Amino acid sequence: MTDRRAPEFATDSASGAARVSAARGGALGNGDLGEPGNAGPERPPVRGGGVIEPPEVADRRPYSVNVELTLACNLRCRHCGSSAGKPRPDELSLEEFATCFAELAQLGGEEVCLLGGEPLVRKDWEAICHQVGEAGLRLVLITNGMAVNDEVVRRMAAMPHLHRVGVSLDAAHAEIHDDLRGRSGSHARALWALFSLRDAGIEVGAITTLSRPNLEELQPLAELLLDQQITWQIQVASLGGTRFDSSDHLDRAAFYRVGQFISECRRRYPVDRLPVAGSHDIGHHSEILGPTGELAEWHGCGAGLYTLGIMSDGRIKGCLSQHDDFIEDNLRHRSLVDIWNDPNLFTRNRRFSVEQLEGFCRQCPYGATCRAGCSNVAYTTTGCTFDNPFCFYRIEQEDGLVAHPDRPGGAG
Amino acid sequence: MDVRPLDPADPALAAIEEMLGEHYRSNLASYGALSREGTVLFACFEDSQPIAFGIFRNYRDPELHVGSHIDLDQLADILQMEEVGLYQVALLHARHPDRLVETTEALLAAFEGWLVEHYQRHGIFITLFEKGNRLARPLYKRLGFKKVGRPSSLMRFDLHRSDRFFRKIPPLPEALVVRFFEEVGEAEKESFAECYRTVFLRSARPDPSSVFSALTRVVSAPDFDPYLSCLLWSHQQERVVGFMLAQRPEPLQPHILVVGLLPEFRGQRLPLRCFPFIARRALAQGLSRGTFVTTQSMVVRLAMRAFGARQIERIQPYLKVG
Repeated sequence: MTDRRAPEFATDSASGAARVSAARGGALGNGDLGEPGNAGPERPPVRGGGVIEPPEVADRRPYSVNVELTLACNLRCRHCGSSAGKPRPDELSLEEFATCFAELAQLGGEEVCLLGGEPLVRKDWEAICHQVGEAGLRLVLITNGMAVNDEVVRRMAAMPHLHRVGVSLDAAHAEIHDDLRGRSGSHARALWALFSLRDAGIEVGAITTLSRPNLEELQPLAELLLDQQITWQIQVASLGGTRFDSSDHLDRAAFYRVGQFISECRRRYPVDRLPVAGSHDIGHHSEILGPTGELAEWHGCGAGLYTLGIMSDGRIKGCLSQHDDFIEDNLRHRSLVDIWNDPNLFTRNRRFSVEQLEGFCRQCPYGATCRAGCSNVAYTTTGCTFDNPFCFYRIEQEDGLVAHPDRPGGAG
Repeated sequence: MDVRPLDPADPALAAIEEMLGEHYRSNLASYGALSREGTVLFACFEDSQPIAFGIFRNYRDPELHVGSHIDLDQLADILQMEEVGLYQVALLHARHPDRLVETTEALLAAFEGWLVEHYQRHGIFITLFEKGNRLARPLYKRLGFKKVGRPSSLMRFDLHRSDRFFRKIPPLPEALVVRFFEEVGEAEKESFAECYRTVFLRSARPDPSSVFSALTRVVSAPDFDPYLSCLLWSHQQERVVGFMLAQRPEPLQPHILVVGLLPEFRGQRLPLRCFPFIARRALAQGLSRGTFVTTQSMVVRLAMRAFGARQIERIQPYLKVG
């Protein structure tokens, strides 16, 4: 199945290699990020000292929208954040999706990422893909590869608005991938999909979801994907899914190792050989590792500011990664335009104030713009969306990885 | 064996009350049987004596959401379909355990027949929280019930150890204050009903006045505990933004029935921050332990870490659709 937390892949509207390359170049000004149709969402303006503030109300738009086409899935992945398998009882129809895409275009949306469940198990997936194009939006598709065959590759290659396809790949070794994904043969299908789509001229990326069982697969995966013209997004399995054994969740030390690995890959391999980036849940503001994400700098959770998540039954969240506690409304109750423009929704980011930060995040110098990183990681680990222990900067400070002038033995 | 629905004047009610008191320390009123519209009571008779009974509750009645031990969101879609009758098996019980399978089968068949007469389509769901329901577990699969959604966890907290944990719990934000039910007025109760409706019943969209009257009955029930139930009040917004309702099914063991927060107040650990207020009151009353039910593994994990709660049972809902 595909991973609920793959939307980062979708927000990268530029070529993956180009985006990662930009990130590796160090500090990016707003101009680098704000060219429509080329380099991602129009981010809020950079103020003095490189601090990026949330956009004003008038500037908000759902630039990149993740749409769960169905909760049905042909795999039963252990780490699945949405516990996918069976479809939701009353999923959106073709007509409802068409209305939804038209409203997104009206709101200034540019890109729609279709995911699941597994989007390709829906019989009308191709028609829905075409609807995205008809609404004038770019399309990104995320699949586990199980249903990809020659005919599907041909159909995808014929879609002019298809920008990228992401394929879930959790390990270089088949037995580990198949075990995590709950079905033998799924690794072979994923590899076949990746290489067939690439050979058909479609921009493709591998998406790896990390938990304890596949942590040691990072290096073999790097060797597998090196020089393959395939971008690589790494994300961390969250504690949200019902099939996920919490003992498989990465602890902070293992989480930091992931950052070290990405940093080391970027140092060792040129970006055109291995374009690798951590997802929005990996980072941020490390003083040792340098940028590990797709952007040079983390600008805070974009849920309800630049992104939107639409569940297959019409329920709306700021981001599909968020826990179901943060469902805001349902597009069957009122229009998407009304929901997006409702000043009382998406308050986590729209009404943020630094006083809401808790724990280490409250005293963090990046708190005002970082807003405690990925809200889902923060919420599922601490119960608070504003206290995030899975942060490179925090780990470096709390675990003494960075010499601190006011600590004994610290650098003065 | 004769199976039939009972009305409020049925002489068999006294025998059923007796069974409830003996086996569950409860009564028909606490299940809403015969006092609420939509609650149906069936009994099996032998030699004109009731030997088993089943209580079935209309899940569209907002009153029944409170403490139903299942994930309400999972049934939101079914609740939107007006033609579907959705009932919860509140309790099944047989006087003699060796007759349980036989009587349960007869009770469910009779109740399903009643549903067919009243609705185009129907759904019956059951959890194994109650002992009587649990004993008949092997029967459900054979009768066509299927597991649905996430199991709930029954958690127990030990208040003797609370001080150790509560020192680490951050205080409530200044704009919010805890108000216990014994001291709240009518305006706050109305605001509570609106909050409850927003939190749990947005999909079903019931009439606000029906929610208010249902919740009024909940807080007036004999086992409701106003001393330990509280509202979270926002000074700035002058409205209820969250609630924790408790009952006292046994004199020395409070049970937190339900916790709710308006969406914009989630993610700030507010239930956790309210918990010390409740715990201190409970301790003042000499209560050492309490329980609550949650459907979220995240809450299980955090409650274990934050105040040493322990998971003592997992409760799986089963659903049959006809």
